[in-house]
Amino acid sequence: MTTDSDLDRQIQEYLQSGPAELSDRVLWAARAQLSTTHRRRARLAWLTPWRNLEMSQSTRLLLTAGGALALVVAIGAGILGGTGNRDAGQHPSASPPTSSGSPSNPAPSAASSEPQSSVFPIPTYPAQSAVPLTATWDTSGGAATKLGLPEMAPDGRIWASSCPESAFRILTPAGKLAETWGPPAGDPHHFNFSMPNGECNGAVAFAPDGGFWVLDFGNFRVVRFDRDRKYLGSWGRFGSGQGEFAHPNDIAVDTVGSVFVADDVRHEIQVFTSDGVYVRSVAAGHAGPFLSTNAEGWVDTDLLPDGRPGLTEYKPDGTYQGGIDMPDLIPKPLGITHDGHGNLYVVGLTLIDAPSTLVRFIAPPGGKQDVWNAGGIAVAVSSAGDAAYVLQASGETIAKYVIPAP
Amino acid sequence: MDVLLVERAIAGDEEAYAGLMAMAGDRLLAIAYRILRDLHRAEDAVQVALVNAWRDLPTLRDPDRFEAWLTRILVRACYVEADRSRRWNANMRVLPIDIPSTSDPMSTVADRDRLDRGFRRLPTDQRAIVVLHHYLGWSQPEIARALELPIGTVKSRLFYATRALRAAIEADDRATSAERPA
Repeated sequence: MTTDSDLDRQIQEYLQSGPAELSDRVLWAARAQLSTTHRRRARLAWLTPWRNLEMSQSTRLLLTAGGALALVVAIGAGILGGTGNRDAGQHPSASPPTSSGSPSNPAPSAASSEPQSSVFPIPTYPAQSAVPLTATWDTSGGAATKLGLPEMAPDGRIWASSCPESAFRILTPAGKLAETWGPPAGDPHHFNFSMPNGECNGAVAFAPDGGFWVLDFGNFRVVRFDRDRKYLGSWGRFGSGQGEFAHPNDIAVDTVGSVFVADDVRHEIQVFTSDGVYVRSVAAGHAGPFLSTNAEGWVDTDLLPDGRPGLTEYKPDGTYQGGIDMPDLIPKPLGITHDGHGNLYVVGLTLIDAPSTLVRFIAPPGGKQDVWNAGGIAVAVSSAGDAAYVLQASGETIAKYVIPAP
Repeated sequence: MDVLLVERAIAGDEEAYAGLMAMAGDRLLAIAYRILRDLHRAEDAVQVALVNAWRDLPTLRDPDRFEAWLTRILVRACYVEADRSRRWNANMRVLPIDIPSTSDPMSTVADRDRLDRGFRRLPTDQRAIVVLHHYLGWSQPEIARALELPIGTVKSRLFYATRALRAAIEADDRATSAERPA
Protein backbone atom coordinates (compact mmCIF):
# COMPACT_ATOMS: atom_id res chain seq x y z
CA MET A 1 0.00 0.00 0.00
CA THR A 2 1.44 3.37 -1.05
CA THR A 3 1.08 6.12 1.53
CA ASP A 4 -0.21 9.53 0.53
CA SER A 5 3.16 11.16 1.09
CA ASP A 6 4.92 8.46 -0.94
CA LEU A 7 2.46 8.93 -3.76
CA ASP A 8 2.90 12.71 -3.70
CA ARG A 9 6.67 12.30 -3.77
CA GLN A 10 6.49 9.86 -6.69
CA ILE A 11 4.24 12.21 -8.64
CA GLN A 12 6.55 15.13 -7.99
CA GLU A 13 9.58 13.11 -9.11
CA TYR A 14 7.70 11.96 -12.18
CA LEU A 15 6.90 15.56 -13.09
CA GLN A 16 10.46 16.78 -12.67
CA SER A 17 11.82 15.72 -16.05
CA GLY A 18 10.93 17.76 -19.09
CA PRO A 19 12.29 20.08 -21.76
CA ALA A 20 14.55 22.85 -20.53
CA GLU A 21 13.74 25.70 -22.86
CA LEU A 22 11.33 26.79 -25.51
CA SER A 23 12.62 26.70 -29.06
CA ASP A 24 13.24 30.08 -30.68
CA ARG A 25 11.22 28.75 -33.62
CA VAL A 26 8.07 28.77 -31.49
CA LEU A 27 8.75 32.31 -30.27
CA TRP A 28 9.37 33.51 -33.82
CA ALA A 29 6.21 31.84 -35.05
CA ALA A 30 4.15 33.43 -32.29
CA ARG A 31 5.83 36.79 -32.86
CA ALA A 32 5.01 36.61 -36.56
CA GLN A 33 1.30 36.33 -35.78
CA LEU A 34 1.07 39.28 -33.39
CA SER A 35 0.74 42.03 -35.95
CA THR A 36 -2.11 40.23 -37.75
CA THR A 37 -3.98 39.24 -34.59
CA HIS A 38 -7.07 41.28 -33.93
CA ARG A 39 -6.92 42.30 -30.27
CA ARG A 40 -9.93 42.35 -28.04
CA ARG A 41 -11.08 45.67 -26.74
CA ALA A 42 -10.98 46.17 -23.01
CA ARG A 43 -14.57 47.29 -22.76
CA LEU A 44 -15.72 43.93 -24.09
CA ALA A 45 -14.78 42.49 -20.71
CA TRP A 46 -17.92 44.10 -19.32
CA LEU A 47 -19.98 42.17 -21.82
CA THR A 48 -18.71 38.90 -20.39
CA PRO A 49 -19.21 39.28 -16.65
CA TRP A 50 -18.83 35.56 -16.06
CA ARG A 51 -15.15 36.00 -16.95
CA ASN A 52 -14.46 39.07 -14.83
CA LEU A 53 -12.35 37.97 -11.91
CA GLU A 54 -12.66 41.24 -10.09
CA MET A 55 -16.35 40.78 -9.41
CA SER A 56 -17.64 38.59 -6.67
CA GLN A 57 -19.13 35.32 -7.78
CA SER A 58 -22.65 36.45 -6.86
CA THR A 59 -22.27 39.67 -8.89
CA ARG A 60 -21.03 37.75 -11.89
CA LEU A 61 -23.92 35.34 -11.57
CA LEU A 62 -26.43 38.17 -11.25
CA LEU A 63 -25.12 40.05 -14.28
CA THR A 64 -24.97 36.90 -16.37
CA ALA A 65 -28.51 35.91 -15.44
CA GLY A 66 -29.70 39.46 -16.12
CA GLY A 67 -28.10 39.45 -19.55
CA ALA A 68 -29.68 36.11 -20.38
CA LEU A 69 -33.08 37.38 -19.27
CA ALA A 70 -32.73 40.51 -21.40
CA LEU A 71 -31.87 38.36 -24.39
CA VAL A 72 -34.94 36.18 -23.88
CA VAL A 73 -37.13 39.29 -23.59
CA ALA A 74 -35.60 40.74 -26.74
CA ILE A 75 -36.26 37.57 -28.70
CA GLY A 76 -39.79 37.35 -27.32
CA ALA A 77 -40.48 40.91 -28.40
CA GLY A 78 -39.45 40.02 -31.91
CA ILE A 79 -36.47 42.33 -31.98
CA LEU A 80 -34.18 39.56 -33.08
CA GLY A 81 -36.77 37.24 -34.52
CA GLY A 82 -38.60 39.68 -36.83
CA THR A 83 -39.27 38.50 -40.35
CA GLY A 84 -40.02 41.87 -41.92
CA ASN A 85 -37.14 42.02 -44.35
CA ARG A 86 -35.58 38.61 -44.13
CA ASP A 87 -35.38 38.08 -47.86
CA ALA A 88 -33.55 41.32 -48.38
CA GLY A 89 -30.75 40.16 -46.12
CA GLN A 90 -30.30 36.79 -47.70
CA HIS A 91 -26.86 36.06 -48.94
CA PRO A 92 -26.67 35.96 -52.72
CA SER A 93 -25.13 32.52 -52.66
CA ALA A 94 -28.21 31.18 -50.92
CA SER A 95 -30.39 31.95 -53.93
CA PRO A 96 -31.47 28.96 -55.96
CA PRO A 97 -29.46 28.48 -59.12
CA THR A 98 -31.05 29.75 -62.29
CA SER A 99 -30.77 28.10 -65.65
CA SER A 100 -29.77 31.31 -67.40
CA GLY A 101 -28.36 34.63 -66.33
CA SER A 102 -30.61 37.67 -66.08
CA PRO A 103 -29.69 40.77 -68.10
CA SER A 104 -28.58 42.55 -64.97
CA ASN A 105 -26.52 39.62 -63.81
CA PRO A 106 -25.29 37.73 -66.83
CA ALA A 107 -23.77 34.32 -66.38
CA PRO A 108 -20.04 34.07 -67.06
CA SER A 109 -19.40 33.46 -70.71
CA ALA A 110 -17.24 30.43 -69.99
CA ALA A 111 -20.04 28.81 -68.07
CA SER A 112 -22.73 29.66 -70.60
CA SER A 113 -20.71 28.16 -73.44
CA GLU A 114 -20.44 24.84 -71.64
CA PRO A 115 -23.06 22.22 -70.85
CA GLN A 116 -24.84 22.92 -67.58
CA SER A 117 -23.71 19.61 -66.16
CA SER A 118 -20.19 19.43 -64.86
CA VAL A 119 -17.35 17.63 -66.53
CA PHE A 120 -17.42 15.20 -63.64
CA PRO A 121 -20.72 15.71 -61.82
CA ILE A 122 -20.84 15.85 -58.07
CA PRO A 123 -23.77 13.58 -57.32
CA THR A 124 -23.77 14.24 -53.63
CA TYR A 125 -24.62 17.89 -54.13
CA PRO A 126 -26.64 18.19 -57.36
CA ALA A 127 -27.95 21.63 -56.35
CA GLN A 128 -24.42 22.95 -56.51
CA SER A 129 -23.25 21.19 -59.63
CA ALA A 130 -19.73 21.95 -60.61
CA VAL A 131 -18.98 24.55 -63.21
CA PRO A 132 -16.22 23.88 -65.69
CA LEU A 133 -13.75 26.64 -65.09
CA THR A 134 -12.77 27.34 -68.65
CA ALA A 135 -11.98 25.88 -71.99
CA THR A 136 -10.88 29.26 -73.17
CA TRP A 137 -7.20 29.14 -72.52
CA ASP A 138 -5.18 31.39 -74.70
CA THR A 139 -3.86 28.71 -77.03
CA SER A 140 -2.96 30.92 -79.94
CA GLY A 141 -0.96 28.91 -82.41
CA GLY A 142 -3.29 25.99 -82.18
CA ALA A 143 -1.24 23.89 -79.79
CA ALA A 144 -2.87 22.83 -76.54
CA THR A 145 -1.24 24.29 -73.49
CA LYS A 146 0.24 21.84 -71.03
CA LEU A 147 -0.26 23.09 -67.53
CA GLY A 148 1.54 22.46 -64.29
CA LEU A 149 0.24 22.53 -60.74
CA PRO A 150 -2.39 25.19 -60.09
CA GLU A 151 -2.08 27.36 -56.99
CA MET A 152 -4.30 30.06 -55.57
CA ALA A 153 -2.62 33.39 -54.82
CA PRO A 154 -3.64 35.43 -51.78
CA ASP A 155 -5.62 37.75 -54.10
CA GLY A 156 -7.81 34.80 -55.18
CA ARG A 157 -6.39 34.39 -58.67
CA ILE A 158 -5.16 31.01 -59.87
CA TRP A 159 -1.65 30.56 -61.14
CA ALA A 160 -0.77 27.58 -63.33
CA SER A 161 2.56 27.03 -65.00
CA SER A 162 2.38 26.72 -68.75
CA CYS A 163 4.92 24.79 -70.72
CA PRO A 164 5.25 26.35 -74.15
CA GLU A 165 6.18 29.75 -72.80
CA SER A 166 7.63 28.63 -69.43
CA ALA A 167 5.50 31.22 -67.69
CA PHE A 168 2.42 31.33 -65.50
CA ARG A 169 -1.11 31.60 -66.77
CA ILE A 170 -2.90 33.72 -64.17
CA LEU A 171 -6.67 33.32 -64.12
CA THR A 172 -9.47 35.08 -62.33
CA PRO A 173 -11.68 32.89 -60.11
CA ALA A 174 -14.22 32.94 -62.97
CA GLY A 175 -11.69 31.41 -65.35
CA LYS A 176 -10.74 34.41 -67.40
CA LEU A 177 -7.10 34.64 -68.38
CA ALA A 178 -5.91 37.78 -66.61
CA GLU A 179 -2.32 37.70 -67.73
CA THR A 180 0.66 35.53 -68.56
CA TRP A 181 3.69 36.29 -66.47
CA GLY A 182 7.29 35.17 -66.21
CA PRO A 183 10.74 36.66 -66.72
CA PRO A 184 11.24 36.95 -70.49
CA ALA A 185 13.49 34.62 -72.49
CA GLY A 186 17.07 35.81 -72.23
CA ASP A 187 16.57 37.03 -68.68
CA PRO A 188 18.83 35.08 -66.29
CA HIS A 189 15.76 34.29 -64.19
CA HIS A 190 13.68 32.99 -67.09
CA PHE A 191 11.87 29.81 -66.04
CA ASN A 192 12.14 26.45 -67.76
CA PHE A 193 9.07 24.35 -67.14
CA SER A 194 10.04 21.57 -69.61
CA MET A 195 12.46 18.71 -69.44
CA PRO A 196 14.25 17.46 -72.58
CA ASN A 197 12.16 14.28 -72.40
CA GLY A 198 8.99 16.30 -72.82
CA GLU A 199 7.92 16.35 -69.19
CA CYS A 200 6.18 19.53 -68.21
CA ASN A 201 5.86 20.98 -64.75
CA GLY A 202 6.33 24.07 -62.66
CA ALA A 203 4.83 25.18 -59.38
CA VAL A 204 4.52 28.19 -57.14
CA ALA A 205 3.90 28.73 -53.44
CA PHE A 206 2.68 31.96 -51.87
CA ALA A 207 3.34 33.59 -48.52
CA PRO A 208 0.35 35.34 -46.95
CA ASP A 209 1.82 38.74 -47.88
CA GLY A 210 1.88 37.86 -51.59
CA GLY A 211 5.58 37.07 -51.86
CA PHE A 212 6.16 33.80 -53.69
CA TRP A 213 8.62 31.06 -54.56
CA VAL A 214 8.66 29.44 -58.02
CA LEU A 215 9.78 25.85 -58.49
CA ASP A 216 11.75 26.21 -61.71
CA PHE A 217 11.40 22.57 -62.65
CA GLY A 218 13.72 22.39 -65.68
CA ASN A 219 16.46 24.47 -64.08
CA PHE A 220 16.39 22.46 -60.81
CA ARG A 221 16.07 25.57 -58.70
CA VAL A 222 13.77 27.68 -56.56
CA VAL A 223 13.38 31.37 -57.43
CA ARG A 224 12.05 33.82 -54.88
CA PHE A 225 10.08 37.01 -55.61
CA ASP A 226 8.44 39.62 -53.44
CA ARG A 227 4.78 40.62 -53.75
CA ASP A 228 5.69 43.11 -56.50
CA ARG A 229 7.37 40.28 -58.44
CA LYS A 230 10.80 41.72 -57.75
CA TYR A 231 13.49 39.03 -57.88
CA LEU A 232 14.95 38.31 -54.43
CA GLY A 233 17.21 35.32 -55.05
CA SER A 234 17.38 31.68 -56.06
CA TRP A 235 18.99 28.42 -55.02
CA GLY A 236 19.37 24.85 -56.22
CA ARG A 237 20.94 22.81 -58.99
CA PHE A 238 20.89 19.21 -60.18
CA GLY A 239 22.42 16.79 -57.70
CA SER A 240 21.97 14.63 -54.65
CA GLY A 241 23.37 16.96 -51.98
CA GLN A 242 21.65 19.32 -49.65
CA GLY A 243 19.91 22.07 -51.59
CA GLU A 244 20.16 20.11 -54.84
CA PHE A 245 17.34 18.47 -56.79
CA ALA A 246 16.98 15.45 -59.07
CA HIS A 247 13.32 15.78 -60.01
CA PRO A 248 11.68 18.56 -58.01
CA ASN A 249 7.94 18.24 -58.40
CA ASP A 250 6.09 20.39 -55.89
CA ILE A 251 6.68 23.31 -53.54
CA ALA A 252 4.92 24.68 -50.48
CA VAL A 253 5.54 27.34 -47.86
CA ASP A 254 4.26 27.60 -44.30
CA THR A 255 3.22 30.70 -42.40
CA VAL A 256 6.68 31.35 -40.99
CA GLY A 257 8.25 31.25 -44.44
CA SER A 258 9.81 27.80 -44.41
CA VAL A 259 9.97 26.45 -47.97
CA PHE A 260 9.31 22.76 -48.69
CA VAL A 261 10.32 21.08 -51.97
CA ALA A 262 9.23 17.53 -52.84
CA ASP A 263 11.56 15.51 -55.05
CA ASP A 264 10.13 12.26 -56.39
CA VAL A 265 13.42 10.81 -57.58
CA ARG A 266 15.23 11.44 -54.33
CA HIS A 267 11.96 10.63 -52.53
CA GLU A 268 12.40 13.30 -49.93
CA ILE A 269 11.14 16.72 -48.98
CA GLN A 270 13.83 19.31 -48.38
CA VAL A 271 13.03 22.15 -46.03
CA PHE A 272 14.67 25.56 -46.44
CA THR A 273 14.47 28.92 -44.80
CA SER A 274 12.71 31.55 -46.88
CA ASP A 275 16.01 32.60 -48.45
CA GLY A 276 17.21 29.11 -49.25
CA VAL A 277 19.30 27.91 -46.34
CA TYR A 278 18.89 24.14 -46.04
CA VAL A 279 17.25 23.14 -42.75
CA ARG A 280 16.41 19.44 -42.91
CA SER A 281 14.99 16.65 -45.02
CA VAL A 282 11.55 15.23 -44.26
CA ALA A 283 10.24 11.80 -45.26
CA ALA A 284 13.65 10.84 -46.63
CA GLY A 285 13.15 7.74 -48.75
CA HIS A 286 9.37 7.94 -48.39
CA ALA A 287 8.18 11.20 -49.97
CA GLY A 288 5.82 11.27 -52.90
CA PRO A 289 5.81 13.81 -55.74
CA PHE A 290 3.20 16.13 -54.18
CA LEU A 291 3.07 17.89 -50.84
CA SER A 292 1.23 20.52 -48.89
CA THR A 293 1.78 22.18 -45.54
CA ASN A 294 -0.75 23.60 -43.14
CA ALA A 295 -0.37 26.83 -41.21
CA GLU A 296 1.42 25.03 -38.41
CA GLY A 297 4.07 23.51 -40.68
CA TRP A 298 2.69 19.96 -40.72
CA VAL A 299 3.61 18.31 -44.01
CA ASP A 300 1.46 15.93 -46.05
CA THR A 301 2.69 13.86 -48.95
CA ASP A 302 1.06 11.27 -51.16
CA LEU A 303 3.10 8.15 -50.59
CA LEU A 304 2.94 5.75 -47.69
CA PRO A 305 6.18 4.81 -45.96
CA ASP A 306 6.00 1.33 -47.47
CA GLY A 307 5.88 2.78 -51.00
CA ARG A 308 2.17 2.31 -51.65
CA PRO A 309 -0.03 5.24 -52.68
CA GLY A 310 -1.66 6.91 -49.71
CA LEU A 311 -1.49 9.98 -47.56
CA THR A 312 1.20 10.48 -44.96
CA GLU A 313 1.64 13.30 -42.49
CA TYR A 314 4.78 14.53 -40.78
CA LYS A 315 5.21 16.93 -37.89
CA PRO A 316 7.02 20.22 -38.48
CA ASP A 317 10.34 18.73 -37.44
CA GLY A 318 9.92 15.83 -39.85
CA THR A 319 8.76 13.22 -37.36
CA TYR A 320 6.38 10.69 -38.87
CA GLN A 321 2.85 11.21 -37.59
CA GLY A 322 0.73 8.65 -39.43
CA GLY A 323 -0.66 7.50 -42.73
CA ILE A 324 -3.99 6.82 -44.41
CA ASP A 325 -4.38 4.02 -46.90
CA MET A 326 -7.40 4.91 -49.05
CA PRO A 327 -7.57 2.57 -52.06
CA ASP A 328 -11.37 2.87 -52.25
CA LEU A 329 -11.36 6.66 -52.29
CA ILE A 330 -8.35 7.46 -54.44
CA PRO A 331 -6.33 4.53 -55.80
CA LYS A 332 -3.61 6.95 -56.97
CA PRO A 333 -3.61 10.10 -54.81
CA LEU A 334 -1.72 12.97 -56.43
CA GLY A 335 -2.40 16.63 -55.76
CA ILE A 336 -2.68 17.83 -52.17
CA THR A 337 -3.55 21.23 -50.76
CA HIS A 338 -5.01 22.98 -47.72
CA ASP A 339 -7.61 25.71 -47.48
CA GLY A 340 -7.45 28.66 -45.11
CA HIS A 341 -9.10 26.67 -42.33
CA GLY A 342 -6.47 23.93 -42.41
CA ASN A 343 -8.73 21.40 -44.12
CA LEU A 344 -6.84 19.02 -46.36
CA TYR A 345 -7.83 18.25 -49.99
CA VAL A 346 -6.54 15.35 -52.07
CA VAL A 347 -7.27 14.49 -55.72
CA GLY A 348 -6.12 11.58 -57.80
CA LEU A 349 -6.75 9.03 -60.48
CA THR A 350 -7.95 5.47 -60.73
CA LEU A 351 -5.55 2.66 -61.54
CA ILE A 352 -6.23 3.19 -65.25
CA ASP A 353 -5.63 6.94 -64.94
CA ALA A 354 -9.27 7.96 -65.10
CA PRO A 355 -10.37 10.74 -62.76
CA SER A 356 -11.01 9.38 -59.31
CA THR A 357 -12.29 11.59 -56.51
CA LEU A 358 -11.68 14.78 -54.61
CA VAL A 359 -11.55 14.13 -50.87
CA ARG A 360 -11.65 16.76 -48.15
CA PHE A 361 -10.43 15.87 -44.68
CA ILE A 362 -11.92 18.35 -42.26
CA ALA A 363 -9.35 19.67 -39.82
CA PRO A 364 -8.33 18.24 -37.57
CA PRO A 365 -8.06 15.18 -39.80
CA GLY A 366 -10.17 12.35 -38.59
CA GLY A 367 -13.21 14.43 -37.76
CA LYS A 368 -15.07 14.19 -41.06
CA GLN A 369 -14.46 13.49 -44.71
CA ASP A 370 -16.23 14.73 -47.85
CA VAL A 371 -15.86 12.87 -51.13
CA TRP A 372 -16.79 14.17 -54.58
CA ASN A 373 -16.50 12.62 -58.00
CA ALA A 374 -14.03 15.25 -59.15
CA GLY A 375 -10.65 13.64 -59.58
CA GLY A 376 -7.64 14.95 -61.42
CA ILE A 377 -3.91 15.28 -61.10
CA ALA A 378 -3.58 18.46 -59.04
CA VAL A 379 -5.81 20.80 -57.09
CA ALA A 380 -5.97 24.33 -55.71
CA VAL A 381 -8.75 25.49 -53.40
CA SER A 382 -10.05 28.87 -52.35
CA SER A 383 -9.09 30.07 -48.91
CA ALA A 384 -12.70 29.69 -47.77
CA GLY A 385 -12.80 26.11 -49.04
CA ASP A 386 -15.84 26.71 -51.26
CA ALA A 387 -14.23 26.22 -54.68
CA ALA A 388 -11.79 23.64 -55.99
CA TYR A 389 -9.75 24.03 -59.17
CA VAL A 390 -8.73 20.62 -60.45
CA LEU A 391 -6.14 20.08 -63.16
CA GLN A 392 -7.59 17.44 -65.47
CA ALA A 393 -5.84 14.22 -66.35
CA SER A 394 -4.97 15.58 -69.78
CA GLY A 395 -2.90 18.29 -68.11
CA GLU A 396 -4.53 20.81 -70.46
CA THR A 397 -7.56 22.15 -68.63
CA ILE A 398 -8.62 23.08 -65.15
CA ALA A 399 -12.17 22.48 -63.92
CA LYS A 400 -13.70 24.56 -61.20
CA TYR A 401 -15.97 22.82 -58.73
CA VAL A 402 -18.23 24.77 -56.43
CA ILE A 403 -18.28 22.76 -53.25
CA PRO A 404 -20.01 23.30 -49.93
CA ALA A 405 -17.90 25.32 -47.57
CA PRO A 406 -16.70 23.22 -44.64
CA MET B 1 7.28 39.22 -14.09
CA ASP B 2 7.97 42.84 -14.98
CA VAL B 3 4.72 44.71 -14.38
CA LEU B 4 5.87 47.63 -16.51
CA LEU B 5 6.38 45.31 -19.44
CA VAL B 6 2.92 43.88 -18.90
CA GLU B 7 1.39 47.35 -18.84
CA ARG B 8 3.19 48.29 -22.04
CA ALA B 9 2.03 45.07 -23.67
CA ILE B 10 -1.56 45.74 -22.61
CA ALA B 11 -1.24 49.11 -24.30
CA GLY B 12 -0.20 47.38 -27.54
CA ASP B 13 3.61 47.43 -27.41
CA GLU B 14 4.70 44.35 -29.40
CA GLU B 15 8.32 44.68 -28.31
CA ALA B 16 7.28 44.60 -24.68
CA TYR B 17 5.16 41.55 -25.30
CA ALA B 18 8.03 39.86 -27.14
CA GLY B 19 10.07 40.37 -23.99
CA LEU B 20 7.33 38.82 -21.88
CA MET B 21 7.13 35.87 -24.28
CA ALA B 22 10.86 35.27 -23.99
CA MET B 23 10.65 35.40 -20.20
CA ALA B 24 7.60 33.18 -19.90
CA GLY B 25 8.31 30.75 -22.74
CA ASP B 26 10.36 28.16 -20.88
CA ARG B 27 7.91 28.02 -17.99
CA LEU B 28 4.94 27.66 -20.32
CA LEU B 29 6.62 24.87 -22.24
CA ALA B 30 7.43 23.08 -18.99
CA ILE B 31 3.77 23.17 -17.94
CA ALA B 32 2.37 22.27 -21.35
CA TYR B 33 4.77 19.37 -21.78
CA ARG B 34 3.86 17.93 -18.42
CA ILE B 35 0.17 18.11 -19.25
CA LEU B 36 0.38 16.82 -22.82
CA ARG B 37 3.44 14.55 -22.50
CA ASP B 38 4.48 15.37 -26.07
CA LEU B 39 7.03 18.03 -26.93
CA HIS B 40 5.58 19.04 -30.30
CA ARG B 41 2.04 19.30 -29.04
CA ALA B 42 3.30 21.25 -26.07
CA GLU B 43 5.09 23.66 -28.41
CA ASP B 44 1.91 24.02 -30.45
CA ALA B 45 -0.08 24.75 -27.30
CA VAL B 46 2.45 27.34 -26.14
CA GLN B 47 2.41 29.08 -29.51
CA VAL B 48 -1.39 29.22 -29.51
CA ALA B 49 -1.43 30.44 -25.92
CA LEU B 50 1.05 33.23 -26.63
CA VAL B 51 -0.99 34.49 -29.56
CA ASN B 52 -4.29 34.17 -27.69
CA ALA B 53 -2.80 36.02 -24.73
CA TRP B 54 -1.75 38.87 -26.98
CA ARG B 55 -5.29 38.96 -28.40
CA ASP B 56 -6.89 39.02 -24.94
CA LEU B 57 -4.35 41.20 -23.11
CA PRO B 58 -6.46 44.37 -23.28
CA THR B 59 -9.03 42.60 -21.10
CA LEU B 60 -6.48 41.92 -18.33
CA ARG B 61 -7.27 44.38 -15.56
CA ASP B 62 -4.60 43.54 -13.03
CA PRO B 63 -1.05 43.34 -14.47
CA ASP B 64 0.11 41.64 -11.27
CA ARG B 65 -2.02 38.64 -12.19
CA PHE B 66 -0.43 38.27 -15.62
CA GLU B 67 1.38 35.03 -14.78
CA ALA B 68 -1.69 33.22 -13.44
CA TRP B 69 -3.80 34.64 -16.25
CA LEU B 70 -1.31 33.41 -18.86
CA THR B 71 -1.25 30.00 -17.22
CA ARG B 72 -5.01 29.76 -17.56
CA ILE B 73 -4.79 30.57 -21.26
CA LEU B 74 -2.09 27.95 -21.66
CA VAL B 75 -4.12 25.29 -19.87
CA ARG B 76 -7.04 25.98 -22.19
CA ALA B 77 -4.73 25.73 -25.20
CA CYS B 78 -3.61 22.36 -23.86
CA TYR B 79 -7.23 21.20 -23.67
CA VAL B 80 -7.72 22.13 -27.32
CA GLU B 81 -4.45 20.54 -28.39
CA ALA B 82 -5.22 17.34 -26.52
CA ASP B 83 -8.66 17.18 -28.11
CA ARG B 84 -7.21 17.82 -31.54
CA SER B 85 -4.60 15.10 -31.06
CA ARG B 86 -7.16 12.65 -29.79
CA ARG B 87 -9.42 13.11 -32.80
CA TRP B 88 -6.50 12.81 -35.16
CA ASN B 89 -5.22 9.68 -33.51
CA ALA B 90 -8.67 8.14 -33.52
CA ASN B 91 -8.76 8.13 -37.29
CA MET B 92 -5.15 7.82 -38.33
CA ARG B 93 -3.80 4.35 -38.78
CA VAL B 94 -0.17 4.52 -37.86
CA LEU B 95 1.67 2.45 -40.38
CA PRO B 96 5.00 0.79 -39.67
CA ILE B 97 8.04 2.75 -40.61
CA ASP B 98 11.71 2.09 -40.16
CA ILE B 99 12.89 5.63 -39.51
CA PRO B 100 13.98 6.34 -35.95
CA SER B 101 11.58 8.48 -33.94
CA THR B 102 13.06 11.63 -32.52
CA SER B 103 9.87 13.13 -31.21
CA ASP B 104 9.92 12.21 -27.61
CA PRO B 105 13.18 11.40 -25.87
CA MET B 106 11.14 10.63 -22.79
CA SER B 107 9.30 7.76 -24.43
CA THR B 108 11.83 5.07 -23.59
CA VAL B 109 12.00 6.34 -20.05
CA ALA B 110 8.24 6.62 -19.90
CA ASP B 111 7.83 3.00 -20.90
CA ARG B 112 9.70 2.05 -17.75
CA ASP B 113 7.80 4.41 -15.55
CA ARG B 114 4.63 2.93 -14.15
CA LEU B 115 3.30 6.31 -13.16
CA ASP B 116 3.45 7.42 -16.72
CA ARG B 117 0.92 4.86 -17.82
CA GLY B 118 -1.52 6.03 -15.21
CA PHE B 119 -0.90 9.69 -15.93
CA ARG B 120 -1.47 9.33 -19.65
CA ARG B 121 -4.85 7.73 -18.97
CA LEU B 122 -6.04 10.78 -17.04
CA PRO B 123 -8.37 13.28 -18.71
CA THR B 124 -6.58 16.48 -19.67
CA ASP B 125 -8.42 18.58 -17.08
CA GLN B 126 -7.23 16.27 -14.30
CA ARG B 127 -3.69 16.28 -15.66
CA ALA B 128 -3.67 20.07 -15.56
CA ILE B 129 -4.68 20.12 -11.90
CA VAL B 130 -2.02 17.54 -11.01
CA VAL B 131 0.67 19.54 -12.80
CA LEU B 132 -0.30 22.86 -11.26
CA HIS B 133 -0.47 21.30 -7.81
CA HIS B 134 2.51 18.97 -7.81
CA TYR B 135 4.82 20.68 -10.29
CA LEU B 136 4.14 24.37 -9.69
CA GLY B 137 3.27 23.79 -6.06
CA TRP B 138 0.05 25.79 -6.24
CA SER B 139 -2.53 25.32 -3.52
CA GLN B 140 -6.04 24.25 -4.45
CA PRO B 141 -7.49 27.76 -3.89
CA GLU B 142 -4.73 29.23 -6.07
CA ILE B 143 -5.56 26.76 -8.83
CA ALA B 144 -9.26 27.52 -8.52
CA ARG B 145 -8.60 31.25 -8.80
CA ALA B 146 -6.22 30.92 -11.72
CA LEU B 147 -8.41 28.57 -13.74
CA GLU B 148 -11.66 30.26 -12.74
CA LEU B 149 -13.02 27.02 -11.33
CA PRO B 150 -15.04 26.38 -8.19
CA ILE B 151 -12.81 25.06 -5.43
CA GLY B 152 -14.95 21.93 -5.25
CA THR B 153 -14.16 21.13 -8.88
CA VAL B 154 -10.45 21.46 -8.24
CA LYS B 155 -10.66 19.22 -5.20
CA SER B 156 -12.65 16.54 -6.96
CA ARG B 157 -10.38 16.52 -10.02
CA LEU B 158 -7.32 16.21 -7.85
CA PHE B 159 -8.98 13.48 -5.81
CA TYR B 160 -9.94 11.40 -8.84
CA ALA B 161 -6.55 11.92 -10.48
CA THR B 162 -4.69 10.87 -7.36
CA ARG B 163 -6.91 7.83 -6.94
CA ALA B 164 -6.30 6.81 -10.56
CA LEU B 165 -2.54 7.23 -10.22
CA ARG B 166 -2.54 5.19 -7.03
CA ALA B 167 -4.56 2.49 -8.75
CA ALA B 168 -2.11 2.43 -11.66
CA ILE B 169 0.84 1.99 -9.34
CA GLU B 170 -0.79 -0.64 -7.19
CA ALA B 171 -2.11 -2.53 -10.21
CA ASP B 172 1.43 -2.64 -11.51
CA ASP B 173 2.61 -3.92 -8.15
CA ARG B 174 0.04 -6.69 -8.22
CA ALA B 175 0.93 -7.60 -11.79
CA THR B 176 4.60 -7.74 -10.89
CA SER B 177 3.87 -9.98 -7.89
CA ALA B 178 1.70 -12.26 -9.98
CA GLU B 179 4.37 -12.66 -12.64
CA ARG B 180 7.09 -13.44 -10.11
CA PRO B 181 7.77 -17.21 -9.92
CA ALA B 182 6.93 -18.83 -6.62
